[in-house]
Amino acid sequence: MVGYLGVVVLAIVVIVQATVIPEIRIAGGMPDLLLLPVLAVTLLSGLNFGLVWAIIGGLLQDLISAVPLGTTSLGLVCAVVAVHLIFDQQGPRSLLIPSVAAVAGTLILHGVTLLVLALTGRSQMPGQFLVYVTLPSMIYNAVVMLPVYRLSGLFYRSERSRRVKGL
Amino acid sequence: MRRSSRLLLVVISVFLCVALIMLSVSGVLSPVQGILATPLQFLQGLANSFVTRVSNFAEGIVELQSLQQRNRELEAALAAYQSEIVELREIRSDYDRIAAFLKYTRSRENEEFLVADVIGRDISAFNRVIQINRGTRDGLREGMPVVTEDGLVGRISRVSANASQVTLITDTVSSVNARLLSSRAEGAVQGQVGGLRMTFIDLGTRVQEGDTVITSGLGGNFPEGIIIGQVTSVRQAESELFREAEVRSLNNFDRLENVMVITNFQPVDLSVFE
Repeated sequence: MVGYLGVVVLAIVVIVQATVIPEIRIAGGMPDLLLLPVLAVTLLSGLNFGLVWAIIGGLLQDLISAVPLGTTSLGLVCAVVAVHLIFDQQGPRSLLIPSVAAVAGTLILHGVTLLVLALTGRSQMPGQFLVYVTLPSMIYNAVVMLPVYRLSGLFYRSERSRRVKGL
Repeated sequence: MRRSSRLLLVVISVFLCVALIMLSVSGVLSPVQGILATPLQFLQGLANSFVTRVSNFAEGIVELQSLQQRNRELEAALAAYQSEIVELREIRSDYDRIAAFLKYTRSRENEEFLVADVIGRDISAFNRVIQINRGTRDGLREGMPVVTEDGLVGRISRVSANASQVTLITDTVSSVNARLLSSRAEGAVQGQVGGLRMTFIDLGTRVQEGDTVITSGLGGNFPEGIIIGQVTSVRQAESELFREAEVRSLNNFDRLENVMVITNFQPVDLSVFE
């Protein structure tokens, strides 16, 4: 699930995040479009795939953003690990789990990003960012995660059936 | 995958990210970042251009209603301003005319004037007359001269209580005893279909284009010294005993709005000597 197609999907997601999403910014927050498929992959495919998507996706996003290269990757890796630890993929899933994972992932991603920025001297007043940016983003991500998780599930199942047929 | 391998993978991932951050902050990765970012930035530029157009279009749709409302308000305001401008131009035009009249009347202190509005024009193509909104109640009588600041207009030919008819000097029945201002030569300015013509100018008189023609006062129909117009051309037929000159009035008789009646001039009736 991390072939060329995955990189293309991540690149598209990053470009959409950089161009479309700022247009729908409300109350300082906006959906983290890269975080959601990374978490969905983690919930569907496990930790390994989630980590690879997190690192590649984070690097792609950092290439066109102002944060140091690796910052988003580190935040996504932490979010993936946390989600994996909290919501193990075994057993029947509740419809709310992806949304709750999105809320937790948002908090971790933003927290790590603000921490790195504060440590490298590129941001001040992280507390205000958490209140005015992270909280609205958590709500956005909880809502947007539902269709993203559903699409990722369709993509995951078709990819798996294609591989089974290939065998 | 075993738990220890997963932990190792996580540690490697975190270490990799931290290392990248440190290298990036130190600036070592800047050239590589620049190269890798180029295709993404290119695609970002294309996407951004598209999104901007779509966004502008969407904003246009959203704002359409408010713009229509705003447009109606502006159109209403524009109509009000245009109406006001027309009104102000009328006032200015009236002011200009009145100021010109005042200047004219001050130049002729011996005469008394009554300003009148033109309320009608000749509906027949054969008569050159106008109607004014002053009549016998205002003290007007037949024969009174009518002028503007640009010169002689005509004289009152018919009077009612509230209005009068003025026969213009361009009417074909009109004849005004006139004088060339420069040479003092006399003649008569007669109305023509196309304008005015001064006739009966003595052959020995030198007449030039641009000469000013004024009333001579002879005959007692008009006061002396009122400007009639300017000579535009001179001609003399070999068989004729007098010169003739085409005269152009400074008045535009088709656009007269206000005129002045000289009320203290008494036309002299010379028919008793005939």
